[in-house]
Amino acid sequence: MKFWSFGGNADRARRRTDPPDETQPPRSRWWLPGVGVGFITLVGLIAFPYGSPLWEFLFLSSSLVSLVLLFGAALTMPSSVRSIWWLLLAFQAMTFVAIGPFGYHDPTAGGETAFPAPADFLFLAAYIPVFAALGLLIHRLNPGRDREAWIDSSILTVAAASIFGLFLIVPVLDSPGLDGWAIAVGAAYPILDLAVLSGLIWLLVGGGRPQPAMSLLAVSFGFTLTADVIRDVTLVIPGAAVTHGWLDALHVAALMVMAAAATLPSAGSLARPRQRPDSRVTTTRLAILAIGVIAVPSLVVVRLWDSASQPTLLLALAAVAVIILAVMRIQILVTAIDRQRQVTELVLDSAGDGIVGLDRDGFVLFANLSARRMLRCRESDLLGRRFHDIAHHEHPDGTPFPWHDCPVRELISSGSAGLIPDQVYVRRDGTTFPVEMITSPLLVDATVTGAVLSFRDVSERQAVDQLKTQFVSVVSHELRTPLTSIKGSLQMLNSGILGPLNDDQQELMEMAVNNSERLGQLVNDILDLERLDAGRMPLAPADVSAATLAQQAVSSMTGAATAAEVTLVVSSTHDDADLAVHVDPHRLVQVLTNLLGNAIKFSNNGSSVTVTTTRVEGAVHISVTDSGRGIPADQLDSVFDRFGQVESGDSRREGGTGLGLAIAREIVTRSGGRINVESTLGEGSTFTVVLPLAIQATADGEA
Amino acid sequence: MSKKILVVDDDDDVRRLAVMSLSRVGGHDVRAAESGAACLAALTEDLPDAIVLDVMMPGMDGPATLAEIRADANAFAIPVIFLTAGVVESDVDRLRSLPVAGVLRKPFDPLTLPTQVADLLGWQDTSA
Repeated sequence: MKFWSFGGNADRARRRTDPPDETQPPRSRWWLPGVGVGFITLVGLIAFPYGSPLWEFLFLSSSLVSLVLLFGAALTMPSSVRSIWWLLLAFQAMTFVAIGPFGYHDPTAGGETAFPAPADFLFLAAYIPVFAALGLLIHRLNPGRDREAWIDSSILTVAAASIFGLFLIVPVLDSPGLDGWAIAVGAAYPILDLAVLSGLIWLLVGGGRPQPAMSLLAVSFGFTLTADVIRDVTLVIPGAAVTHGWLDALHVAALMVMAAAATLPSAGSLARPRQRPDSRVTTTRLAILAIGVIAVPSLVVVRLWDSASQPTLLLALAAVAVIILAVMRIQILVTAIDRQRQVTELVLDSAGDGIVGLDRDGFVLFANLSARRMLRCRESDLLGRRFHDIAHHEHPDGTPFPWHDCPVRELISSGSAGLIPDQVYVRRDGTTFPVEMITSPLLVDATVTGAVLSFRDVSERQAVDQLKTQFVSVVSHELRTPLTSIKGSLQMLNSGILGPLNDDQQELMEMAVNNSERLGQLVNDILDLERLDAGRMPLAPADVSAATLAQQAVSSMTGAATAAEVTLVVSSTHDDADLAVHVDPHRLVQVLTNLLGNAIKFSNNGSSVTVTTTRVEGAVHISVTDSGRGIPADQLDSVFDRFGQVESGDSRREGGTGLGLAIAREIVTRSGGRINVESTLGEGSTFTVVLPLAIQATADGEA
Repeated sequence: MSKKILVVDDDDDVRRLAVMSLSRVGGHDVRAAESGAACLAALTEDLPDAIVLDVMMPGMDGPATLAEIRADANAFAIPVIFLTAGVVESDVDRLRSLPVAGVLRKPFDPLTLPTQVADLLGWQDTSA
């Protein structure tokens, strides 16, 4: 029953298009009473005797209320869609006048009127505003795609009309007593309805979220179509006047559904252009088109089989029309595909990196503009040839580089992605340039079919790196040379070799020596940090015993400890072999020396600093413990920060650059370990370097 | 045991400090040259027992001077010690790979420089 499907459709449309997302207000049930009233009205229109006062009242009141609703909605619509709703209102108003008590519909005549009646021309004229509205909708929703929309809906219309025609138009044609006018007008209604419906369906499936208002418009024209088909049937079936109640009920239903559509929130955004006009060729769209195109010629074949003559001619004409339309449509599709290819090519060619597509054997499938420019090649020089043989056949030192050694080959065969730094590409003219390349597998349904190789010329970056290294080296030299003279001269004077100093001179001299040392340390630390930051402090890891490193650090700090009257105690809980770590020995000694230097600096005269090396599960812990003044808990985190010295009145007296622990943490972290500190104020601090055990040591205990 | 040492450095102050350290602290017979060319010129006469050679010098730098010394018919066997202000590890490693007795860093301690030189050359400690 139509009214059930009306309520049901509206409900489905809402459910499908209003997913419960937080941005929307909670869904209201305002439409439920409306559906109820509409339902009761339709039941009344069918149940009450056709033409009775109650029937007339229901017919007029429901139609007028719906028209007023449409009018009110059109008045308050945003300007972008206002004209569309005015046109739809015009259609419904003209239809109402055409079929209403003052026009086509005349119950007093017992439902029998001449066909076509003058009202039919008003009725047909009502389609002008409808198509205007449809044209506006299509144009605004899919700018630039009007032609596609019209061709697609024409194919659908012709196909559907041909199918309906076989069952409706043919009996009409065969029934006696109908003249040419009657046949033409009778056939025009369902075809016009189908055309509107096809356009709306095209908009609904044309991508983007289907709007509830649009869905209801389609439902409305579905009712109009049903009504018109029923009317055509009444023309050829004698005594079918009893269906007039149904017929008018369906027209009222169409009007009420359209009024409902106008009151939906989405009615105002009916013509909001899609964010991304979707012209992709999808299987669904192709399938709908194919069915439309195939349907009509198939019907021709069926009719020929039946050897009926007259409708076959009409169908054949329809088939020709459909085929012409299909050809036009295919042309548009091909253009769209071509445009997609051009966009892809443009994107690839606009990329600054060279991008090369390789098949499983490393042969070139495509190469973008940057790749061709960097290699100074034409596309034809690359396509179908093995990329490695053209551009990658040399090592950085110029020695040959066979394909079976190329890392790209391995990445393709394993289907993994990878960054390959420090490679050299050879141009066609024989010159070379350094590159960094990234390969990613080309996957088709999880099967590796090749790889995408993107590469960039890193010669500029290498030149900058070179310049930076040079800068560090020059700065280092320029700072150290005067420091060498200052520090050395002071040390010579301070030593007394060149003659004794009096007490005041001695004190000033020591001050100068200490501060020149501090300055020298600062220069070293800043350079170290700069190189760590730039990743230019290469670590040379080796398997060494942590205990040996601790011992070395202690030995180098013995002098300072003696001067500060601090005793250094070394202990180790395991054999050297069980304490093997994989680190850069030179850098780790630097770290431990720094920790020891701090510990000595903050220790009281006569106290001791303990260095303990021990093994805790899979790691080696090297702890440096002092019994100095300790670090306040709130500053424990910041001691490893740059210039993160503990705030205290006498930190200046202790000297130090504030960079030592930052460097220590950087070196330890880069060696795969970590550095911790524990401290109790007034009792002392323990710095612990935790390093992973060397693999060898975990395997067989050999250092 | 006093030795004859030639100190080559373009910086006047550093050169004088090294000379003072090796002569006053180390007790050696020290001469000085302010460039690679001057060093080579000094090698035509009385040959030193060792050369302490700066690396970064205008004109002929340390390694170039070293190459000339090694190519010199008379002076090729004289042990050379580089004295460098460089910090870049790879640079220092490259210096070590050259035919030298060792590489010492600046800033150096003038009080221990003679000992370090003696250690590198395998000399008996001559300082008091």
